[in-house]
Amino acid sequence: MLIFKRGHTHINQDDLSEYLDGRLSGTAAARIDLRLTECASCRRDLDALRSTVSLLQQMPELTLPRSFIMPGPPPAPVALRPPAPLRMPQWVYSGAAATAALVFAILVSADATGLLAPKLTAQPEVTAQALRAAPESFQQEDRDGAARAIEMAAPQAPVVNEAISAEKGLNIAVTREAEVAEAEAVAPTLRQAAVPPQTAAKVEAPADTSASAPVAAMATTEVKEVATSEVARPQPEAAMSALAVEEGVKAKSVPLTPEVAMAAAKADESAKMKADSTPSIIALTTPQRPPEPTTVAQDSPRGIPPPYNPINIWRVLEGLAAVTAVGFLVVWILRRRAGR
Amino acid sequence: MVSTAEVLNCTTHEPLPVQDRSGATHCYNCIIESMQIQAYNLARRMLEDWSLAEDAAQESFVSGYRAFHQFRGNNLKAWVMRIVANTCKDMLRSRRARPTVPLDPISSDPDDPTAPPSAVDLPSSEESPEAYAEREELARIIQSGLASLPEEQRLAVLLVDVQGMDYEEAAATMHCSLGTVKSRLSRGRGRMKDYLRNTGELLPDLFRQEV
Repeated sequence: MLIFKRGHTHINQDDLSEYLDGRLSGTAAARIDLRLTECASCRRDLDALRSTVSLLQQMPELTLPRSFIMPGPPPAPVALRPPAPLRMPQWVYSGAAATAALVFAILVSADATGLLAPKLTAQPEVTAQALRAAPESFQQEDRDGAARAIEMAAPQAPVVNEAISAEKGLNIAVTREAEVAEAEAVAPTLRQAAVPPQTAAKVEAPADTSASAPVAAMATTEVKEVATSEVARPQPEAAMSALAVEEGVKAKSVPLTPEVAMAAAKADESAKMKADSTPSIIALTTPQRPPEPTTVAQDSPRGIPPPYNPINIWRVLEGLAAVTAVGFLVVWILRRRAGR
Repeated sequence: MVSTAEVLNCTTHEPLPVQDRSGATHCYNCIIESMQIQAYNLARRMLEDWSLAEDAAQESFVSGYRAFHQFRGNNLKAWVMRIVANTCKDMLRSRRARPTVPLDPISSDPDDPTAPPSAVDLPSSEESPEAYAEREELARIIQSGLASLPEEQRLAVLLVDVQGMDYEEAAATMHCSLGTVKSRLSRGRGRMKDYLRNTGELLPDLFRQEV
């Protein structure tokens, strides 16, 4: 009871302050008057507040150091500030730097994960070297080399790997092998001049068996197609012949199901990654071929889109983003220093 | 164009005609003359720093001159003091952003004529040195107590208790509601009360008894 009474009936600070200034209405003031007669603590509070206010009111008025009377109209405000674009708040600079850095990071990570891959090309010098080195090594160990290439390439193709784990044990590979063999038979002239048939079979076969599914098999075929076309770019004739060879295979094997097209699209990406990361492997799988009539690829009903985009626009954008980020960062730091 | 000599009957200073929103002509120097002590005092109590306070008063009057066409013609004091308060707030803000070594307004050297004036300024002739010293000490403590208040509470206490404004005028100056003035004032007073209780030495007996 006592606690409730004490806690409940103390006059709050706002009321006391207003009471002191005589700004409370009659009833409110009367309530406080009553409370003050009952509560010594409230009385002390009021006295202390009154003394405080009294001290404040007695604060001496300071004399002016000088008169502020103006001799005439003050001059118009002088534009001491630099032009507006340079006077943007600090966060604009830091924000711009952060945004540019973010764009740069996104571009780089997209690049690294292969999202921008269709626009990326293999390093020409590396590829040329690999192509030059390819024939000898291929002749020496064409079977082993091809097998190794497939071995090394397989883990890098997620589509294929998924297919391996998902469809292990299915026997569709047999059908695929037959198809591939048929495809090769359809393009004998091209094969003659290009890969030794048994090598090509080797190249196709392990991939097919490991894939064990039409979609996955198609993917590997596509992988090699695109890889071939990418690697062979520095040497147009070789590229054309490569296209011709693969066209022969493709012409037969493509029209399977609609989902093949999707698989091909997926495979394109992984092929790009390989084209970038392991040019020597690709070189091994694409031995030197003699020149072929350039019309073959164009005549083909399902021609591979020719490689294009010699200038890599994404890399240029990455560079621009990096330069922008660094530039804004420098400006921001300089302005922070100047601001101190 | 209104002839200033006719409209403004100024004798002590150069007439400086300005027009308010309604088109009425005033002499701005008359306004300065009537307001400058209050303006400077408010700036000085808000900022502590005497040289900053002088700048603030000067800047406020210049801003007021340029913005006078917006003045509606009522409550000139609140209008001018609002400009001063805003200028002081801006200065406090920029001082917070760029802290400098403060010029201590309290440690004024009586032997040094270039020293800044103290919080009480010149002693009046009829006052004993002891009384003056005590009064100055008290003013110093109150000034540090004010400085310890949050900006808005300090402004409310200065306007109502030091400058003697009523709540309505203070609300117009602070550009806030009456209730806000009440609560800022009461909280500022409460803090001042606690501050004066905790410092004690030269304060009235009341505070010493309560400690």
